[in-house]
Amino acid sequence: MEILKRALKPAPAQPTESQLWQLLNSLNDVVIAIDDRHRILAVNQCWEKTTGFAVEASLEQCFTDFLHPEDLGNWQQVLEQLAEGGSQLIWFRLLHASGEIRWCEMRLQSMRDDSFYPLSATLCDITPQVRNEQVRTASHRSLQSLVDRLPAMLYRSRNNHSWTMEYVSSGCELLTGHSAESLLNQSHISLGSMIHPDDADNVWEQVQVALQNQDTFDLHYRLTKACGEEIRVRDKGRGLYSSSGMVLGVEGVILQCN
Amino acid sequence: MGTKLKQWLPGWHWSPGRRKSVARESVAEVDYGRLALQLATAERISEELPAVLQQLQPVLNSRLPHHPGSIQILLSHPNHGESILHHGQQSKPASSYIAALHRQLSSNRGSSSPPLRITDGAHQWQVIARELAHSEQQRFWLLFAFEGEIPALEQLNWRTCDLERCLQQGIEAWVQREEKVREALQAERAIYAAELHDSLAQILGYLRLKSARLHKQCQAEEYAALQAITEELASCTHCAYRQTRELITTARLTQQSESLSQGVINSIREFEQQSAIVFELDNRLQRNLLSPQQTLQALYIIRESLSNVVRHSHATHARVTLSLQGKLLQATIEDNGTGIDPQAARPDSFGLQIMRERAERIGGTLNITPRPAGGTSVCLQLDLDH
Repeated sequence: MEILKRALKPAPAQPTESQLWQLLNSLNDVVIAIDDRHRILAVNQCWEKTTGFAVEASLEQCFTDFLHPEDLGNWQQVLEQLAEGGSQLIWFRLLHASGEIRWCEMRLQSMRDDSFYPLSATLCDITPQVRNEQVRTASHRSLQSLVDRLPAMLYRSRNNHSWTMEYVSSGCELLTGHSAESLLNQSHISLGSMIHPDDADNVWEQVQVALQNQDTFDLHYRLTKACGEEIRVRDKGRGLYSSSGMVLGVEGVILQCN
Repeated sequence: MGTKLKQWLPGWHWSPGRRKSVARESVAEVDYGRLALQLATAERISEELPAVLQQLQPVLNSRLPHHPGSIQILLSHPNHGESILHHGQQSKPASSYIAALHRQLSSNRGSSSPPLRITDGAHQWQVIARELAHSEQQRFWLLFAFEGEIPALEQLNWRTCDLERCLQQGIEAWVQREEKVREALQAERAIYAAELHDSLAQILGYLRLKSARLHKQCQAEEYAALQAITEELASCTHCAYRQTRELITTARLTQQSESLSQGVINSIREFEQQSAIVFELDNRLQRNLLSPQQTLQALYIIRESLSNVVRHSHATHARVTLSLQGKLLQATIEDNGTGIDPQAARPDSFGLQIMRERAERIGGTLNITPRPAGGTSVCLQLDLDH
């Protein structure tokens, strides 16, 4: 009986065109259709908010005219990839009516199964996210270049006799003659192997005492460079602890003494 | 018949146009060697190609009387999303036709690919495309466009092989010549940069230190009369030293990158490493439009501006915009820093004056203004017709 009721229930009415447009225009993402000559066939109101150009004035215009010239190559590439089927995601810059640029993320696909064109796409303004990412990148880049230019070797090592390195700054090469990469992790070259044999035990003991007391250490010892030259260095650092006090590693800076 | 078959065959194969022109063509005899030479020695190939194609179009018409078509050459810049079409006809092809060609030829297409089908309004074109030559930045395509039925490919090949060969020889030679000119220019710049570095910059560096010391020693009261002179001497020497260093760097940059765009990209990469400022490049130039001299001076000005941003502005963001408005190229360097106070400029701050002089030297104007939202805007405008 229940099955019969459900079967007899009238099918929901198809939404009218104006209802569909109302739905599309309420969205905070651009919804767009593009024809085989890359002209805009249809676009919702969010387009105006994103680009500053009126929808009516943009219809029939070539979509690529709104793209930043440097991103046209990417656009072509994405279309080629799209020809292989599925959908594609692309980031590009849209030229705003004010002359400013807006970073956008677009999901692009063919509208129909039987033909490549027209294309349908959703497009959202990701300018704030891109700007934040640029600030983060600049901040990281600045710190990284500062650390790498210092005439010293900044390090984070494990607390073992080899002092196996988890991180070494580029100053390592200037100090030891070995590249930073060659010292990382389980490499056959280690700081331990470079410390003069007569100093190695003393270095180990003093660091262990400092770690035990959760104090800093300040050591002077001899290092053998890659070229065989022996130099005197100063190593100042401290332990890296978990909240329970467990020693996770050792961080410090090594400088050459005159 | 004194010609041996071995010698006669290649000549017969490559000269169908010449033989047939006697029999059925009413078009003027075309000297393919001269046309190829005209292209190979062209100063601006974009100006020569239409003239050459105008001479070849009647030849094509007479060779394929039942298949009216157009001979065209497309210069495709895959990296810039731009193509330029040259043709020998009166009517200009529609921009949508060129855009469609660009789209289809930007993909990795071989010369043996099937004809392109292009719809341009009510017109339907079939285009046979063959790659003639390519350089790092551009590809040259020879196109035979037919609105109606296309001839059999073998027939087309046979009837147009001499046209294609003439264009290919001319364009290939032009591309090679351009490459050699570019290499020679780079080598010359490298020599000058090295000379400047090894001679003048070393001496100026020494003079800078000495003149600064002299000025310091003249601070004593007994040398009061000399102070104005030593101050000017020290600041001028400092300025000359900085300018020389910057010229060396700019010369090196223009060697690595012949275009302004690439020079700016390299400069931004360099300055990014020296600060936590977010640098943004908005490059809307699709091609290299400047002469080497203009590129050098414009790059100097942009680098000087970027250097000021890093050294003095306390900015967190800087943006370089390269754009073209008609025949006016505009380079803008903006920052959101503290702005420039002209009253507070140090006596050795000749930078702004030198930037203006360099702009004038290449027919440009330089405007340095405060930004409404804070910071400074440096705007270089260059008339490309200069």
